[in-house]
Formats: sequence, C-alpha cells, structure tokens
Amino acid sequence: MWITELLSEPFMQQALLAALLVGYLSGLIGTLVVVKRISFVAGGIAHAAYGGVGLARYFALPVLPTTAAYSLLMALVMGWATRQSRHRTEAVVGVIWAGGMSLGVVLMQYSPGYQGDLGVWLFGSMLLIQPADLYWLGSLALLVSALFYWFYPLLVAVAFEEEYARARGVATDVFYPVLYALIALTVVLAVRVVGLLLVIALMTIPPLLVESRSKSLAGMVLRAVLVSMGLCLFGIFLAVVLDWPPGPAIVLPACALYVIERFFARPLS
Amino acid sequence: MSAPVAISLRNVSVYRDGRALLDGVNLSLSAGEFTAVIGPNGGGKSTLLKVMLGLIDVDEGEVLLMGKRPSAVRSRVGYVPQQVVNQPGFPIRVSEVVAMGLPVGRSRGFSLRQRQRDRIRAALDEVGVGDLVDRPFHALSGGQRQRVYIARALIGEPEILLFDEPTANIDPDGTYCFHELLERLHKRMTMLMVSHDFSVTAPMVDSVACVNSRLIYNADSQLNREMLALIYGVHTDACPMGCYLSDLSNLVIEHQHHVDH
Repeated sequence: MWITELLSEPFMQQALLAALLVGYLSGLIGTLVVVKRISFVAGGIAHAAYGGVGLARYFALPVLPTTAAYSLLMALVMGWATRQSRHRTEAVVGVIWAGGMSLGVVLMQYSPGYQGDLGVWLFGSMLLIQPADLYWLGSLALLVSALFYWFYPLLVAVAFEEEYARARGVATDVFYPVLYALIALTVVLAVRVVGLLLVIALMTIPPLLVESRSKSLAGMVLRAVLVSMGLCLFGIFLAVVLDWPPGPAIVLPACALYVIERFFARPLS
Repeated sequence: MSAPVAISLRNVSVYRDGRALLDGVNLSLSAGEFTAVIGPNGGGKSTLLKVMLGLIDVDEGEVLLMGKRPSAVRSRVGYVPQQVVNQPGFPIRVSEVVAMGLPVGRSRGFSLRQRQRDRIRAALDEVGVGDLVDRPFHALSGGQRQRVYIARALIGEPEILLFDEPTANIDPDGTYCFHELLERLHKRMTMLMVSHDFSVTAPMVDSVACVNSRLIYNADSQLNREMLALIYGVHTDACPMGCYLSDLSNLVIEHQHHVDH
C-alpha cells in the first residue's frame, strides 16, 4: 500500500516523470557519446556546469537559464577546440572541466545568504524538481528525437566514418558543436535527478551495456533508452526507500549491471 | 579521338607546418584510365587523394575532376578508404554502410525505402556479397568489408573511383578476389589506386604515378629511373646499383605475369 500512497504524492509523480525524461535523453545522447568515444568531453561539460551554478548563486540569477547558458558556452568552446586541433581536445576539456568546478566552488563560497547543501547539485535531489523542469525536459526530448529522426542517416555516416561523410559532402563541422550543445542542455536539465557528477555515468553506462548486442545504431539507441529509463525509475524508488540521493541510487545499480554484463559479455556474431 | 580528361591537377602545392606535402604536382588522367599511385610513407599519396576528394584545400594550383572543382562533383566520385578498424564493434548493418554511398540528404528516418534496399542489394550482388546485406558490419572478414566498401562506392554509379591502400590488412585470398573485381571494373570508370605494393597492382594498371612531394607520371605501367630516384632518394645514373634499380619494376612485372599464368 505504501507504494500507492507514495505514487499519489505530487513530488513523487514529478520525480518519476523527470527521471523517465532524463533516462530517455541520456539514452539518446549517450549513445552518440559512446560510439564517438567522447565520454571525456561529456564529463568535462557536466563538471564545468558547476561554474554556471556558482555564477547563478553569486549574482542571484535564475539557476537553470544561467547554468544552461554557461554550459552551452563551454560546450561551444570545446566544439571549437575540437575543430581547431583534434589532438588538443583533451587538454582543452581538462582546463574547462577543472576551471568550471573551481569557479563554481569559489563563487558558492562568496555568494550571499544560505547556499544549502552543495550535494544536491552534485548528486541530485527529488525535492528540487519543479514542474517547469518537466516542460523543459519534455521540450528537449522532443527536439532531440526530431533531430535524431530527421538526420539519422547523416548521424550514422558521421559517427561511423567522419572522413568518408565529409568526402560525400556531409557538413561534419556542424556535428560536434550541435552534439556538445545537446550534451550541455541534457546535463543541465538532468542535474536535479542525478546531479552534475553522476550524469555522465547515466549517459555512458546504458549505451555501453547494450552496444555489443546491437546490430544498428537505431537498435542501440532504443535499447539504451529503455535501459536508462528503467535504471532511473528503479533508482528513484531505491532513493525513496533507502533515503539516498537519487544520483547514487540510479548510478550504483547501473555500475553493478555493467560489471555483470562485462563478466558475461559475448560479442555479437 | 582521345578520351576526355577525367582528373586534372595543375601545379598543385599543399603546405603544412612549412613543409610541402605536395610540390607543384601536375597530373592529367583520361576517362577510363586506371592509374596506380605509389610512393614512400609520408610522401603525399594520401594527401593527393584527399585533394581530389575535396577534403584538403590546395595552397597553390588547381584541381579539376571532369572539368569541375571536387566539391561540385562529389556524387560522381566514389571512394574506397583504407581498411582501418577505427570503430571496432560499431553497431551498423552492411546495408547501412552501403546506404552511405547514396546521394546525401535524400533519406530520413531509421529504415530504408524498398527502392533503396533494392539498389543496395544490387550493389552488393555486383561485388559478390549480396547475402551479407543484413549482417553486422563488424562481424565480416577484412576481404568482405573491402567488398562492402566497394559496393558503397559503386552504388552512386561514379565516373571516378578512388582507392586508398585497398589491400592493406586483407588476407591473400581477399586480395585475389579484390583484383578480380578490379579487372571487371576496369574501363567502366576512371580508377586511381594509392598502393604501397606496386608488384601486385602493376599488371592491372594502365599508368603509374610516383609521389614523393613531387609527382612523376608514366603513361605505361612501368617504373622508370626518375621514379625510382624519387622514391628511394638516389640518382640511379650515379649509383652503382642503378641497373638493379631500373630493372626492378620489369622484374616485378615479369614475376607477376609468371605467377598469373
């Protein structure tokens, strides 16, 4: 009965819906992150976003738009750096990663008034989820789905063999900035569900779990989305039952699944 | 009447970090000609190919394919890349790989139309691997992958077909099948093949171009003294081994004919 009572609570309904949307977005975007081997970049964007939280707090600005703008800017800088010099990408990402986190911590320290628990930004909190978040998450999910459907053949070509795609006339220069921007927006909107530090795990573990069992990119996306949404739902319940922050409650079972999958992994024949 | 010019490079130079990757290269290939491009590693073979594909802008000179800039004729040029497994385990079916050769931007969504599937099947049948259409690409052997790449290049019905080290990382059986395929394609389109192994390609080609920053072209399939000097960096006339070097290509070709018959 306690589950029925729990599900009737508005905050729980919001949390579950947000978790499903975050799971959906993470599965979609995360698949591209995994097949393009840019987990480090995605991690950099996620950690750098904390600088945006610090800026919002210090200047008393709305957190979500400020963090989104800051993360988008950092994502575009990374996209530009990737285009300029591919072999320097990791160094640039490292600077943005560490710089963003440091900026966030320092600005939070000097921000006026009570700052609350830093952990809620880093590991998520269901109490932070607002109805407006659901609209933003839903809108981003629609946008990403439409882009994925519309450009799927081009996405496959760029993800599989970038140089060939460029030789065929595909505008590959647009791919990375757009992908990084979508990663940034997903990270910012996922903060309240899994937190900045753990969102990268949610983006990478589900696609990694299904990669070796998928015969096509679309199949991998579908599987990753289902696994990611399942993990988010399970994690939310686990968080409520054990009184954990939702981020670790989602990510720990995901890590356990990954270890089990690696143990029994068999490549597709 | 002579065949029209398919590939034309006039005084093309490409510089990177103060070094000339290509230095005043001139080349004119007729439609239907099959040319091997050989040269040492780092000599500019792949740069030459990328210039023709429009992937690298030239610093000097002019590149024309069928009389137009490479970016204007992308759909009429096929490209078979080097066999590099840079995406091991990438989830993609053979049909999706071949579909990349279809005109860009005409398809949407996750599934192929029946007409597209028919064209993909026909292209795969042409290279003898039609039965692999729904297989995962990463489960194929090196030789099968190479055929899929050729099907991808052929599906666009190209007038020019460019190969980059097509037999690298392929077993001898795969290489033999690949050469059979080349013989069938010969004369149907202009073909240019970058290859490190001239002994294998020599019997098939009409002409050879030797690249080591500069380019020397020979209208038959034999290496001459000038080419050997460009590759090995020695002047064969002044070298005590000059005779050996200049006879090398003849020996290679004679040996290949012997093996073939």
